[in-house]
Amino acid sequence: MMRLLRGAFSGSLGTLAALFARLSPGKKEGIGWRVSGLLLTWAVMLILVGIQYGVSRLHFAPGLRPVLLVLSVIMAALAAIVFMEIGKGPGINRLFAVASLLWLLILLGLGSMDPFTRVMYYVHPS
Amino acid sequence: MHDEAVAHEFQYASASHQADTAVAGMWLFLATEVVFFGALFLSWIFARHFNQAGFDAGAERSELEIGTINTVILITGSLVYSLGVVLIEKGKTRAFIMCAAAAWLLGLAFMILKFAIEWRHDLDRHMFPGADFGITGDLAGGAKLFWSFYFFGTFVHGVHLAVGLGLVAWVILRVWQGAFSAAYLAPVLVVGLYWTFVDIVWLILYPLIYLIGRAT
Repeated sequence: MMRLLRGAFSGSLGTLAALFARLSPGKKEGIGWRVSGLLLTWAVMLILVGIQYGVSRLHFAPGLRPVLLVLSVIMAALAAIVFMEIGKGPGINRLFAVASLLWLLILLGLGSMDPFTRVMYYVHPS
Repeated sequence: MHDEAVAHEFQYASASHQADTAVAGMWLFLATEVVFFGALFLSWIFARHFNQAGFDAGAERSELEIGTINTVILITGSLVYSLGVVLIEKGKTRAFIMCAAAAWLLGLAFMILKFAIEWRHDLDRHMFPGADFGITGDLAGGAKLFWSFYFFGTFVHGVHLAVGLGLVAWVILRVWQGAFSAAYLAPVLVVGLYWTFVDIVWLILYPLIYLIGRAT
C-alpha cells in the first residue's frame, strides 16, 4: 500500500512539474507564477498529510492527540487562500468566510463547554 | 471580464457585477455549510470526551491507508481543478476540460475507494453499529459511537462529493459547448469553490476518523 502511495505521489509530481515547465513564462503576474503557487501549496499540503500520517503512529497522551487537527486547519487555510483565492474578489466574500469561522467557533466553543466542565460523580451500583 | 461583450441579467450593473454576486452567493452558501458540518464535529467532541477509550478502540479499526490515499486524491483534485481555472482564464478551454476531467476522475476514485472498498470492508468486519457489532466488552459502547460518527460523517461528505461530481460534469459539458469561457467564468469559479470546500471538509474528517484515536 505504501509503495502504491509513493508511486502515485511521484507520478503526479512529475506530470505536474512538466506542465509547470511548459506554462512558466517567468513574469510575476503571469500564468507560471500562479501555477507555481498552486503546485507549491499542493506539495506543502502533501507534506503535512505525511507528517500527520507519521505522527499518528507515535505514542502520546490521548488528551494531546487532537493536536493533529492543527495540521488539518493549516491545510484548510492553505486551500482557502490559494485554491479558493479568498483574497480575490469583493470584500463580502471574506466577510462571509470570517463570519462562518466565527459561528463555528461559537458553536464548538459554547457546545464543548459542557463536556469539558461537567463534573462526573461516581454512583455506586446498589 | 469583457462587460461590453457579455450579456447580463437586468438587475446587475454589468457582467462582472453578476459574476461577483454569484461568487459571493457561493461563499455565503459555504458559510452555512461550515455551520452544518460544525454540528457534526461537535458530536465528535461530545462522543469522544465521554467515551474516550471505547471511541479510540473503534477508531483503531479504521482503514488508515485508504483514508490517507483518499486525502491525497482530494488535495490533488483541488489542485487540478484550480490549475484548470488558471488555464481557462487565459482562454485555454481545452486544457481546462482536461483538468476538470482529471479532477472528476479523482473524485470518482475517492468514491470507489471509500464506498465500494472501504465501506464494504468495514461492513464485512461487522463495524456497523448494530446487533452483530464486531467489538464487544466494555469498549463496545464507545466504539459504536465512533462507527456511528464514521458512517454518518463519511455518508454526508460522500453526498456532497457526489453533488460536486455532478457539478463538475455539468461545467465540463457547458465549457465543451462553448457556454463558459474566459469571457464568462462565474459558473466555473463557483463550482471550483464548492469542489475545494468538499476537500476542506475531508481534511478535517481525516484526523477525526483515522488519526486521533489511533495514536495509542
